[in-house]
Formats: sequence, C-alpha cells, structure tokens
Amino acid sequence: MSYFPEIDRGLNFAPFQQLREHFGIVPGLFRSQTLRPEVIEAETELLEAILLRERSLRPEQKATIALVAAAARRNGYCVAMHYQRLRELGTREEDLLLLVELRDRVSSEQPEGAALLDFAKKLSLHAGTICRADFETLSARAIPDDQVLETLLVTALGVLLCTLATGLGVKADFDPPAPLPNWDGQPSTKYQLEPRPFTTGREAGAAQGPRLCTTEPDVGEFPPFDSLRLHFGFVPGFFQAQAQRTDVLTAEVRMLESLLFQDGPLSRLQRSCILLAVSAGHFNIYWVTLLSERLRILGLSEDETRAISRDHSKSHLSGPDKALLDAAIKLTTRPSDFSRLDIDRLGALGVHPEQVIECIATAALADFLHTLQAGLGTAPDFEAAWDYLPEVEPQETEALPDINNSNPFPDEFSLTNAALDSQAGMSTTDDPDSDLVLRVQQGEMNAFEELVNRHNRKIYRILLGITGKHEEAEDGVQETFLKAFEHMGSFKGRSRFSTWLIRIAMNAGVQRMRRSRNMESLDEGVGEDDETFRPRQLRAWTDDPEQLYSKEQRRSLVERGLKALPQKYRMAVILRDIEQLSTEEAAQALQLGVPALKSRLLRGRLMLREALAPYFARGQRGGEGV
Amino acid sequence: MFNCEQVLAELASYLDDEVVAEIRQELEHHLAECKTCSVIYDSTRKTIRVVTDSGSFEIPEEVSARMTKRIMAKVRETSPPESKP
Repeated sequence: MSYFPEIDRGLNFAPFQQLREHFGIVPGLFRSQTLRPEVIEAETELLEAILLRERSLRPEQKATIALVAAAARRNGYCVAMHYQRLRELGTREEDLLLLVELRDRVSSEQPEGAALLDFAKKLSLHAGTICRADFETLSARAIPDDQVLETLLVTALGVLLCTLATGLGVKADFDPPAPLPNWDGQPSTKYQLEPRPFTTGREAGAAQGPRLCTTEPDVGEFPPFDSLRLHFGFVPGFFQAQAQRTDVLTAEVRMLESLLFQDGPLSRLQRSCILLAVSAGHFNIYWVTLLSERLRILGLSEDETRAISRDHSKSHLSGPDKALLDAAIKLTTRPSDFSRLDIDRLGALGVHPEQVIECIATAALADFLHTLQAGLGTAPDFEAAWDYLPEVEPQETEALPDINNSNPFPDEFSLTNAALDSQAGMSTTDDPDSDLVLRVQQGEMNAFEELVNRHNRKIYRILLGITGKHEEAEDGVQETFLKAFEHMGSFKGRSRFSTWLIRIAMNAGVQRMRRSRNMESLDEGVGEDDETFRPRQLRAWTDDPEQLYSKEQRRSLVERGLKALPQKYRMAVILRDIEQLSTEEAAQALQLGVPALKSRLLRGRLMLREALAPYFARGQRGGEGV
Repeated sequence: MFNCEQVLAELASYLDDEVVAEIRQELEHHLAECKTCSVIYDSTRKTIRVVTDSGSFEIPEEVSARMTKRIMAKVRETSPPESKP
C-alpha cells in the first residue's frame, strides 16, 4: 500500500524477478512505482550494483550499513526491509536490535566494522559535515579505500531508499522489529535534517579534492562516460572519482539517463530544476554548480537558474512547477513533515501521478548524489557558483491554487491541469479573440457570430478527425458552439479562447463516439509504447513532392493517410500540422504533457510518412494510383 | 556520437526546431553519416510540409456559412450568455 496505484507488470518484468530473488518478495517500495517502469529498472540496477552484489564488502556488511542509515533517519519502512534481509542472511536478532537502536555491535571484536558504521551514521544524517578527519579515522584503522568507497555508496543508496519510501508513502512489507517506534509520518521535534554549509565549501578551502585514491579512469572506452560527455560536455569529477567501480558508474549513468537526460512525464528541464533546488537545499555547492551549467545548456537564463537555486518562489516557474520543488525540498530536508497532503496538493494542481512519482524519484536521486559527493569530497568542476546558494534554509512556499475553473465539463476533460495551462504560457493578452469574448460576455450577440465564423472550420476539421464522419462533425460543431455560448460567462481567459473551444469540441466528439461505441482511447497513458514502431519505407523522397500531384490529389492522399491512423496519433498530427497549434497548445488541448504530445506526434508523422512514401519516393510517380 | 535510436528519440524535437545546441550538433553529425536516418528525417520533414499544405478536411465557404447560420439561430433561441462574475 502506498500513495500510488499499482499496475500489474506481469511475472516477466525483469526488475521484479531480480528483487524476488533477493528479498523473497517484490518490496512495496518498487511496486508503488509501477506507473514508471523505466524508473524501477534504473533503481534496481543501482540496487544490484551497490547493495546486492558482493564486492569488497559482503552482502551482510552492506545490509548492516543500509540498516544503520535507515535507523539514523528513523525510516520505519527501510529499517524493516533491511532488518528482514539481514535476518535472512543469518544475522542474530539481538545484534539487529542493537543496530536499530544505533548502538554499536560487538565493537571490541570488529573495531573497523564499528568505525564504518559510525561513518555511515554521520554521513546519512549530516553529509555536509563529513570532513577529511573522518577519513583519517578510517585510515588509522587500516580500512582500505575500496571498502570506504563501498560504504559511501551503500549509505548514499540507503538514503535514496529512505527518501523514496517517505515520498511514496509505502507501508511495511515485513513485520518490523518488535521495539521499532512508529517513526514514519510522526513529525519529530528532535529529528530534522539540518542543511549545513558544505565542508568542501568556501571555508574549507584547501580541504577540497578527492579523499579516496582512485584508479585512473580509462575514459576513452567507457560508454557511460560518453553519455556524460554528451550531456555535460565532459566527465564530471564526481564520476571520475568512482572510476574503479565501473559497474556502479554504469548504474548511476543509467539512473541519470532515466531521470535527468531524457524527457518523461516531467521534462528534462523540470527534472534538472528539482535536482538543483534539492542540491541547493543541501547547500551542496558541487551539484549546484554542475546543475547550473546543465540548465544553461538546456537554455535557462542565468538569472532564472540563480532564482531557482536561491529561492524558487521568486523564480518565473509556473505554480505547479514551484509546488513540485516545494515537495522535493520538503521531502529531502524535512522528511518527517512530508505526508499524503503534499501528494494531494500536487494532484489538486493538476500534476499527474506519473509526474509526482518522477519528482519523488528525482528528489531521492538528488539525495543520493548529495550524500555520495559529500563523502567523496570532489571539488566543483567549474568555478563554484557561490552566489547560487540560498541565504537561509529554503522555506516552503504556499502552493498556488492555480486551477482553471472555466471547465464546463469536469467529468470528461478536467481542466484542473494547471501545469498544462501554464505550459502554454498564455494569457488573454496573447489571445486574438479576447475583445470578441469580452463583448459576448457583455451580451453582444454579433460578437459571438464573429467567433463562430472565425472558428467553425477549425472545429469541424477537429471533429472530423475524431469521428471520421461529416454528419457527426457538423452536428458536433453546433453542439460545441452552443456549449461554449452557454458557459461563456465562466470563461476567464486562462487559456486562449480557441484552445478552450477545441477542448469543448474534443469532449463533444468523444461523447459522440462513446455513444456510437466506436471510441478508440485518446488517452492511453503517457508512457505509451512507441518503442515497437520502426520506419520501414527507407527510399529517399523526391526533392519537390508537391510537384508530383495536384493539390486535390495531395489532399486526398493525406486525408486517406490520416483516417488510417489510430485516433490518438491522428489528433496530434491534426492539431499540430493542420491546425498549426504550437506544441504547448496541442498538448494542452489533448490534456497531455509536452513530452507525451511529442511522442504521439512523432509516431503519427512517421506512420503518415509510411502511408505517403509509395507516392512520393523517388521514381514512384505513376506507380500508385491516387 | 548518437546512435540511430537516439536520433529517432530526438527527431520530434528536431523537426520542430526545439532541440538544444548540444543535441542539434549530435543529430546533425549523425545525419551527415547515416543514410537511413537521413532519409527518415528528410521524408518526415517533407511529410509535414505536404500535410500542412494539403488543405485536408477543409470545407467550402458555403458549408461554413450554413453552419454559422444554423448555430446562430439556435443561440438566439436560448437566453443570453451567463454574465461575467
């Protein structure tokens, strides 16, 4: 049980098979993310590389470190999970209870083990206070660097799992150890993760630099480094410092690819902003500097990046985007205050569950990167962006109830998706219809007639795209304008009038199709499977396809091709390429995020290309009848 | 360097001129080298052009006028729109 619905991914879902092998079951922590299977895959790969596979530390030692990290952070779910695994691995119950209470276990017999646990405890709670002296303590006990690195990795992963468990609101799969207090969801006045100035910070000066001896990376022949070079322009020192663990680097880069480098339900920009805001919340100058550079590459202005980093409430982000950052910062700096209310608040602002899961996973990744970097002590790759750090601990801003109330049809196309509204970035000042709308609202009938004249062809084309029938389309146009007229008084101009009208039309079209039981799903989820489609027509097209056929013939070909497309792809192509809506407007009209719209649009265009290729490929004139 | 999968993943943004410089550079590098991706890109670009210029689903002026007339007749039968709050 968690805050998110679980989707059956089938018995063959590889990450779940892996998890079953190690835990006996699939922990709820992962089942609660089934809306985002790619994220589960990346997390499981990281888990396997860091926690489950034996390297310089044995699985039992690693699970012990993870248990201590979870106990230090008072995370009941993770304590129960690691506790159960250690029990399976044969650890004595009385030792486990001592660990949960954060008391050293048989420290006289295993002083190096106790030293590593002390280190993990400190790192998991106050990563920012780790300093060279901590490493000297470990070195004095002759603990080799590869074991220290492994302890850093396991602790950072332990923190990531705690953040995930809190954010997802997942309930324990295993019986918790008897004396375990009910930590989760219990705000504690004692327990606050206080961001402190980072030790490789301004004051630390000469103390900057890697604290572990690492092998020289062979950066020339390592694909994850190629990926890092592609997205950052170089291989950041943070990754070079882990060069001896290529398995971990591969998993880390996979995680970055899944949560930072690619668009998903959240865009790359949104994810980068979450990472930046959380890193700033931790006062981690390394990641703040690197992510600022990343945002610069993505086209964000320096001023806006600085605002997001210092105090995102003063940035120009939309209300929902600010709320995502609020949630991520709260989750990572005040986890005991995080609750279902935070998830509900995002939902009320129109943020989809997939997007919320991504936000939580990205925040957890930020915690991992922060914890690990604080341990590694790598110096910033660029001149440190000190002026990007917040003056004080970032305060949660009140989430804005930025909900568009102008939706006449909440049951069909809820317009509560303020995220989409703000994506379009429009206001009435951009709207060429705003004067006419105002006049209609003041009772002027002729102004409405002008709006009908302006838009009825567009609405007809869209309805023909949905229904495929001229009579249905014509009736749908009438229905659309009558409903628009009826609700004109409640239209507040938060989107363009034409976009509002299109949504009414789409609603009317969908209802008509449902009535005739001929509805293909227009909304089959954001993570739709576009992977299986491959272009097959690979002959080059003629230079000037328009010269091959008359306009009437081209129109006939295109209409035929469009009608053959599945509806969800057809609508994306019609809105974007025929109606010439912007990407954001088309996404808004279809109630999709921009990445999902782009995905559908590409698929639609490629399918249409396949249909048209026999007529436009070189040497094909006359080969196919039109 | 991008592989063909990565090119396909970025193609939608590239076609709409919505990629950052680093990605654009990678894409153009790949397209210059890969005949298959180059054909897919070029023909998809031309598909968009053909679709946009096709006038698909356009209706004659008189049909549009007839619809407006029909709609306005219905509208006038109903009460005036809700007043602005």
